[in-house]
Amino acid sequence: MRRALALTAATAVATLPLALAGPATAAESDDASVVVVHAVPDLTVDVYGSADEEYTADEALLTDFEPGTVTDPVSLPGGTYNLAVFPAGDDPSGDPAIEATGVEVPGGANISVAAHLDEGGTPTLTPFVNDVEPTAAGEGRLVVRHTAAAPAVDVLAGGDPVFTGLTNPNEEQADLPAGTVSAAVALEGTTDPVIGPADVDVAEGAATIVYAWGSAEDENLALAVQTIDGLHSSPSGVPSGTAALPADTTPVLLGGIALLAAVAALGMGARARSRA
Amino acid sequence: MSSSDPSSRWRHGALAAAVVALLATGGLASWAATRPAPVAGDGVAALSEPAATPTPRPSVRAVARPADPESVARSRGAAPTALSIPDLGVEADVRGVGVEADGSMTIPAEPTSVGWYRFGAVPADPAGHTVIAGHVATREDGPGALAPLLGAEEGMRVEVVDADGTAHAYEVVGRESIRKQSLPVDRIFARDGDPLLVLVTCGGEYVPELRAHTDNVVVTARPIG
Repeated sequence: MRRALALTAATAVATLPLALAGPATAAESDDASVVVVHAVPDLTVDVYGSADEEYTADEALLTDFEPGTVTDPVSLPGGTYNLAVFPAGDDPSGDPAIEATGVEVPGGANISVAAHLDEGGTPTLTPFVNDVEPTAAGEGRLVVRHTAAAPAVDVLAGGDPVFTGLTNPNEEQADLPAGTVSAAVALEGTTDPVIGPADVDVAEGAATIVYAWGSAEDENLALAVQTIDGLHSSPSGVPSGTAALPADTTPVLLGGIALLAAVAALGMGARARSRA
Repeated sequence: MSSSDPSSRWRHGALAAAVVALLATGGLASWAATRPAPVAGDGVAALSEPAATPTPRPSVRAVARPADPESVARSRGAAPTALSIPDLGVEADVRGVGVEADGSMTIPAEPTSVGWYRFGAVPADPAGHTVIAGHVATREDGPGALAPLLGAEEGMRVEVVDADGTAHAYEVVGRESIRKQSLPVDRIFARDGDPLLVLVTCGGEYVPELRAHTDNVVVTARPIG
């Protein structure tokens, strides 16, 4: 059982389009930021991360991790990790419920590891590399990830399909003007929501990552949201004037008076001397 | 010396004209002396450098939070609604604004309104800059609400009232005119660091062909009381 699941997870990692393949040699010494997303229904778990095949109590990343929750970012040194998920309270020396071996965590990377169901309903672990490039001023980044036991889906915003044909465990993203999006998920080619619609706040200067999770068969499909702040950019400038202020004529007026009076004084003084 | 003496009349005239010249020159000097200096207080140095992002240290224990869309939606603090600088006679309504298609900050068209950059801090936030900008003048309406900002001096009191009715008091710590091309936007719009109020309008030469000014006038104020 352990071997089979581990294989599943490792395969998922290997076939991911974004499976941590990014060059990270330059930043190898930096810590990576890792968030864990729990998207396996009905299973409260403990998560372990280890550099070897054994998991010990002090390698627990988190305990009593409930479905539909997301962790705060954890800082990990770049490297290769084995990750394992155990039912909450289980001895980590036993067989994990889910395992992903050889997960590369490049230094400096921002990664979300999702514990979720694959399309067929088997629990798996998928690492996603998060795009933390700055967003334009006024925009937010919406990322949608298919982590549900469900076939290909379309993602609807305000009733219209924005991402189509999304399959487990893949993602789509777009930068949008910041605001609230009424998001729903429908089976590919349909507009009848299987999840939502739910209001998703696409915050300015942040990535809002929406996970479609659960199982279509068990009718517990839902959305989970992770946000990454601090991607904002500043406005390019402040164009605060489309006309000149009425000019200040004080110096011209005073200077003119001084000049005229000085000329008059000189002229009259000369006239007075010539008459003397 | 009688008033009928023509040379005496000319002398009196010359004297009177010299006095007028002196007075006018004195007036010119005092006008120059009372003009706002190009930089008041710390100028834009009063904008603190954005704080460096603290480097998180490795910590293995993570905290999990509910992630359904409702619990993730965050509430913002109360937006500023009114701005006043009693010493300068500035009284303006404040509206939340974003950015234009070209990426520049939106400025309300009405001369009595000023814009608050709604993606930045609010006055009640513990960190980051509350940025409020307004036209110095528009072709349609003449001088704008922030035209007197060019006369802001260190120590002047600034008040911002927010949507909760809370009044936030600030004092001016710097004013400076800056070429628009070199406006330090990342320092002005900083979302971390000290909770400053930054007021921006236009100044410098007006270039009619561009319908724009060469400079921005940036006034920085820090919270008091």
